Amino acid sequence: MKIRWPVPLHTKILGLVGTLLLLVISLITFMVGYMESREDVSNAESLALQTAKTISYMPGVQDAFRSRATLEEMKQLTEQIREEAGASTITIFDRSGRIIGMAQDETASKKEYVTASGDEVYKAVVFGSSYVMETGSRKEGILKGVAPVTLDYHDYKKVEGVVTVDFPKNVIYSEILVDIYKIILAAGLVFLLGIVGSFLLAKSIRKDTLGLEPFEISSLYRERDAVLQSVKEGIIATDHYGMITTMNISAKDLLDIRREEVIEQHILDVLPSEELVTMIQSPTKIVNKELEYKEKIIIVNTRPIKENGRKTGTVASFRDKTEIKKMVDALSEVRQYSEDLRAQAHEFTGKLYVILGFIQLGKTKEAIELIQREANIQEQVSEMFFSQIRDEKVQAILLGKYAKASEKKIRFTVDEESSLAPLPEHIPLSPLIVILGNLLNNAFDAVKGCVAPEVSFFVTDLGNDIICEIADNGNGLDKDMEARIFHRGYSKKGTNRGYGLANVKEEVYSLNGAIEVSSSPGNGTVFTVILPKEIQEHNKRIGG
Amino acid sequence: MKKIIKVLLTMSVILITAACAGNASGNDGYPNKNIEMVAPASPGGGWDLTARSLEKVLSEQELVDKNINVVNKPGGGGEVGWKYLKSKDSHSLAVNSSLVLTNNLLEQSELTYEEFTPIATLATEWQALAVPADSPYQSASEFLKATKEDPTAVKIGVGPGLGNDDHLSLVQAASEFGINPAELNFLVYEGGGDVVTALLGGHVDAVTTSLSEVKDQHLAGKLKILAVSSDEPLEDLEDVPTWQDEGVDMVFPHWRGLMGPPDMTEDEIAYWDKKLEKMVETNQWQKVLENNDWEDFYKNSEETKAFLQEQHDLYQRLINDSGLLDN
Repeated sequence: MKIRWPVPLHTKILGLVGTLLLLVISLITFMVGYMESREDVSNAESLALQTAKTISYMPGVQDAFRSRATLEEMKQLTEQIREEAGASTITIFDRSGRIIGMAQDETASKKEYVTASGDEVYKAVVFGSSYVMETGSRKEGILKGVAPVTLDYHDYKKVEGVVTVDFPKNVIYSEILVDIYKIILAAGLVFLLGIVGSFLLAKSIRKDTLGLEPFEISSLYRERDAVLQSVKEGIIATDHYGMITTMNISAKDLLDIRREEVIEQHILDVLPSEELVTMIQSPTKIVNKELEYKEKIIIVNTRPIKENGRKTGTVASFRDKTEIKKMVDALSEVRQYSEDLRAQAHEFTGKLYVILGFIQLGKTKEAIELIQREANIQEQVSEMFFSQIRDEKVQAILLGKYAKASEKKIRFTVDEESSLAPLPEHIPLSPLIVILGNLLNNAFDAVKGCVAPEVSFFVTDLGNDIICEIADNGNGLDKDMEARIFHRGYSKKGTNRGYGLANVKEEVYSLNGAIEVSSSPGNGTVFTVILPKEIQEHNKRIGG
Repeated sequence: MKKIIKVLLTMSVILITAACAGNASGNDGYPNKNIEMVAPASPGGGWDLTARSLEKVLSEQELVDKNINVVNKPGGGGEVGWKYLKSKDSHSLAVNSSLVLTNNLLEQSELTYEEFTPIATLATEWQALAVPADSPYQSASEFLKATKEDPTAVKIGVGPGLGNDDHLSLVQAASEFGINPAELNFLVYEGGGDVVTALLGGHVDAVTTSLSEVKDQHLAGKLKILAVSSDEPLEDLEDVPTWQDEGVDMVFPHWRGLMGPPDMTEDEIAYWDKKLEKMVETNQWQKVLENNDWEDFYKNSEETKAFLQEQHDLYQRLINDSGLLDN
């Protein structure tokens, strides 16, 4: 692979702007120079023509032809005209080619070039035309203005002679050079300004990018993106119009957003919850606020991005409270079991002390009776729990709950008809803890304060489903409550509670099961949980 | 920005409408309004005469059903009138002559004949070289010989300016004869009439002018025409030789024609070809030719185009090649 060294930003800008400027400026310079030189040439041409014409009309010249003046007499006049026009040579011929008047500057007289040929003045002599022509060698070109001297003899006119005015081209060229030099100077100045400007631009861009080169920025960007995507927490960032600039995968999962394209979309179009949008658009920061969102509780944190005191966007992060709650619940359930077992152990210790007392007092008979009774109860319990129910997870949960019931003086029985083979693998321990633990706890709570509190548990796995029934003899539920108990946040036990049954329902549904409740006031409540033994992916039961 | 778009839209709509209208008028029939006949000279001159004759014959023979108006635009040896024509539409035509070629060649005008649409060549006059009745030169060849020996001694009258056909015809003749035109001694008079007066007054030794200027005096015996520039001897002047008879290989018509503004359509050109072809056949036009000592020189647009090109090349050589055509 070819290694490409990153080109620093200012080199890039300088290079680009410099090249462009050079191109444009040289083009303009060339064009202006070309037009200027064209104009200079055309000015010189018209000067040559006008000078020749003017001389041909001058009374002094006309008089010279009439009076047949000689070269010497004309000398002063032509020299004066030549000086004023800035021409190198002025020659006045008569028809026969005799020079009537002539003036030359020093350089021209030294070169002794031929002043005019018949060809050059032919058109003027024969047709009376005035014109400009180019003669001389290429190196020492001459611009020659030619005009006829036409004398008016009252009755008729006659072309009597010709005036030629020579301008050396190198004088014109040097004028052009001076013009071009000026243009190039101006162009150079513009180029310099452009370079300084692009340097300042590069500097200003560097300032905006905190001195980072573009490749550094892009690598930082990629890094940040990878970090964002790997975080478990959902993160959304928006600009001050509410357009989403960032959204990581966790946010999409958590907020259950199915659409692919979310970047540059408005949050109102992407998020279905107006409340959430309001929170994200809040001008002040929001810390750990809970929000019910699609049957979930999420914890929202938002923080406006501010620049110079003005809000330029918002970053919002989300966590799923349901998950946290579930973890906490499971944890406390486990702790509950150990508490309960400790209580049971304590009770046993008490009973052992009683037996020890009986033995020390010699009341062997009483001691034996007590032992027999306890052993009987244990046998009955193990009979009840372990003969029909052969799944160890359910056994453990029931044992724990039995301990709790006995502590609370609640009669907890397992129906004799119960039967349960070890549970299939798709039902793990933690949902069982949530489902059975919550339902049993609720039942224990429901019978609190009853005269003969009793909770019974029934389970059977005959057929395709596992069916559990948890019945209590408490006060039961009225119709209104029956409809609401599975809703999140509903509780008889005060605020910030009421997740138990909602969690139960969620777990049951996640196992493709169903839960029912039947109750009448005064006759207690029966919860029935039905869990399929086999996973039926394509036939999910959806509870109402 | 919106404004600019609006203006552009409006302009394009107008252009399209105009284009449609132009098309429509082409289909509806050309001409659809009065015809303007530009004479690029003041009333009374040859061009004016040509324009008015055209107007008269075309209208009276009912060849053109629209009105024809003659407009005089004198100045600059025709340049003012032709510049005016260039700015008009195809309903304006102008009379022209060789000046439309020589003006540019003599650096007196920027206009070239190629900027116009040739329509027709209508008539020509012939050039004449005349000497006084008592001149020592009895023939054109004698005249040329004497001139060749001492060019400055022979004064030749011409008018109204150098570079016209009167002048050029003799320049060409002299060149053909081997005389450097630069040595010819031309005196420039105000006009054709003044030239003849100067000749009759003995101020000049010879004049070169239109045949019509000297024909009557020749017939009256007041002067002598040595040569005419036609290709064969002329009616009424059977005794006058042509230049070719005198050993100078030259035919020099002083033609007059008609041209239109640039970019005339083929239909419009065809219209005039049809009309003028008919016109030159009419007795009335023949009468006009006779009265003015003109000769029928009709060429249609196609022929005129080629003729102009040919004439341009001739004049270019004549003017730029510093004389001596043979060398």
